[in-house]
Amino acid sequence: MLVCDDEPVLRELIRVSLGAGYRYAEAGSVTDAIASYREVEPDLVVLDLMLVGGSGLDVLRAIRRGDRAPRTPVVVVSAWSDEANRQAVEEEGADLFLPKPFAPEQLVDWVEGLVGSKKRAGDA
Amino acid sequence: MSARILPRTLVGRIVGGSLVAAVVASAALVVLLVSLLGLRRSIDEETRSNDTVNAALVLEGRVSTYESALHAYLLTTNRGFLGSLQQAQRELAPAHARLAKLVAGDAEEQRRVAATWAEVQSYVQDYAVPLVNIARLDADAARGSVAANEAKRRSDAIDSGFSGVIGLERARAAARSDSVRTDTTRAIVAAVAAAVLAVLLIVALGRWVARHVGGRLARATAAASEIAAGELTVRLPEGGAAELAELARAFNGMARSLEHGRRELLAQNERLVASEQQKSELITMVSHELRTPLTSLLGFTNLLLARSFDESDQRRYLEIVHRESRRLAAIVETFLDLRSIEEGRLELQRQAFDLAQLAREQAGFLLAHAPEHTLGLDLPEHEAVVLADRDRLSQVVANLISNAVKYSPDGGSVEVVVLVADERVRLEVTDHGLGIPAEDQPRVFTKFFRGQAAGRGIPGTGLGLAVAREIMEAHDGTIGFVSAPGGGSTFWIELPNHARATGARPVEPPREGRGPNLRVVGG
Repeated sequence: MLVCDDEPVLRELIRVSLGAGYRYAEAGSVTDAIASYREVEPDLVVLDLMLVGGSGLDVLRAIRRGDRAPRTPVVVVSAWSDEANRQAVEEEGADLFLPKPFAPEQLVDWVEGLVGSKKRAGDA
Repeated sequence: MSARILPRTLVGRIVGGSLVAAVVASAALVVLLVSLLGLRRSIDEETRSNDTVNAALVLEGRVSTYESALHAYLLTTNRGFLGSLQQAQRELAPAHARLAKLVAGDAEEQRRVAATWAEVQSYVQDYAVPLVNIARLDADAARGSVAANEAKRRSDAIDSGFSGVIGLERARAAARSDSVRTDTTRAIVAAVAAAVLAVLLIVALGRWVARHVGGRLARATAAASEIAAGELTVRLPEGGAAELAELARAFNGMARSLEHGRRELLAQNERLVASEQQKSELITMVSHELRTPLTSLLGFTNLLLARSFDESDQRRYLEIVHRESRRLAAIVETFLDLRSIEEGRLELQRQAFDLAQLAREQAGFLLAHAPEHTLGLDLPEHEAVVLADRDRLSQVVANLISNAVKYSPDGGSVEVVVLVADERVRLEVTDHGLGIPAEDQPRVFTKFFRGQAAGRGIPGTGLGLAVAREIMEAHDGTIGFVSAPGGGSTFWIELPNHARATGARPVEPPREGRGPNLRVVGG
């Protein structure tokens, strides 16, 4: 899992919510997020739109540029939950948009669903 | 002394113009009347001339009758002719009297008539009467050539006298007739000229009314239409006749007032739009700023309720919940502060305290939560005493230090310096981070202005520095900054040096381990 959020406390919340079943990499800035993505090749990215040094959309674009099939699922978590932002996120190729504040169980359900489907796609 | 020849008012000008035209027309009539009177006088004169000539001819005829009677008696010495002669002599005087009366007003003619009459009388007294007496005695003697020659001479003199009288009268009549003709021609020319002038004046008055009244009314109508169509900058010229100038002034006043009203409305509308924009930015910002701590609160409480954690994790998550709750409270506090400040309700609890001590506390606390930053503290040997609201000053210093941390996202050192000059105490916070672009610098203290923060994912309300400035101004202090884009910023505040002003000691707990120029490095 790659967890990108400028707030360390929210990175921790996401990590604790998803539980000990995954290994985690964390990033607070755009450059860190892109570097970590390339380094760890995560199974899934949880991405905040507000990052140090830029927008989560920059990270999303970088991920989609270098994507191989099956593509890495990306869950965008953001407080900027208006329609324009959701649309931008969708156009850039995010799989799901989760507005803040969110219920941890919702995140868990979505992440498990995405990881499962990726696994199945990879196995196929 | 610039006397106005033209009346000022429109009514005055029209009445004045009409009067001038009426006077000129009347003058034409008067000239005609005068020349008519002249004509009548010349007709009277002519009649008198004719009468004079007639009277002269009558007298001349009586003289001829007298001569004929004299001749007849001298030739015949018939006594019967003596009666005719006496009769003719009696008729001479009344004819002369009539002629003399007619020429009474003319000295020259009077002289001629008198001279001729003298000749006639002389003829009668000095020639005819003696000759008749001679003829009674000696008829042949009376018929002699001497007498005949004398008769001829006297008769010629009398004829010549009458010719002179009649000739003069005819010459006078001819001259008068010429002068009457000239006068009449002159009178007709003058009357026609005056009539033409009157017509021209009336036409000119009409044209003036048409141009200055009609034209300007048309212009006013056009201007009113323009105003009705929304073109409020249109104005009428304010000169000319008083009523028109007054109309133009009233019109222009109305246009100015309308224009002013519209400008006010537009400005008000702009302010409303700006205020709406600000409100909308505020709502967006607040919802985002509140959502981040709310996410932590809801998330961790949700997890704590739904799952079981060991005691140390539980404690850690509760600490997070506590910290995020405080963060929420702080955001709410900032808003309330701003509202109080904007409503002028900022109350300061002033006390004397050491600004260096406050700087040490805030820097230590804030840098403890910034693992990527190092702190450089440069504090004075002696206390930097200021008279201020300590909580408000803490808020300002905390804001400057947390900005220094936030705006140097790649870490680095944050230096906090306190300086004591004679009159002032100064605190500086320097970072080596992003700096502020020149175009953003004028708006740094503007409410909700966050510069490049939003784009770089730097959290904040955009209110911190606005509140800080209000607080410093309420303390009669100053706040400012210098910034090199890309090279970091130094923000500073200054307050009066209270120790210098009063020699007062700060009300603070004693501190330990405070050496000269203490430098704490690291968080």
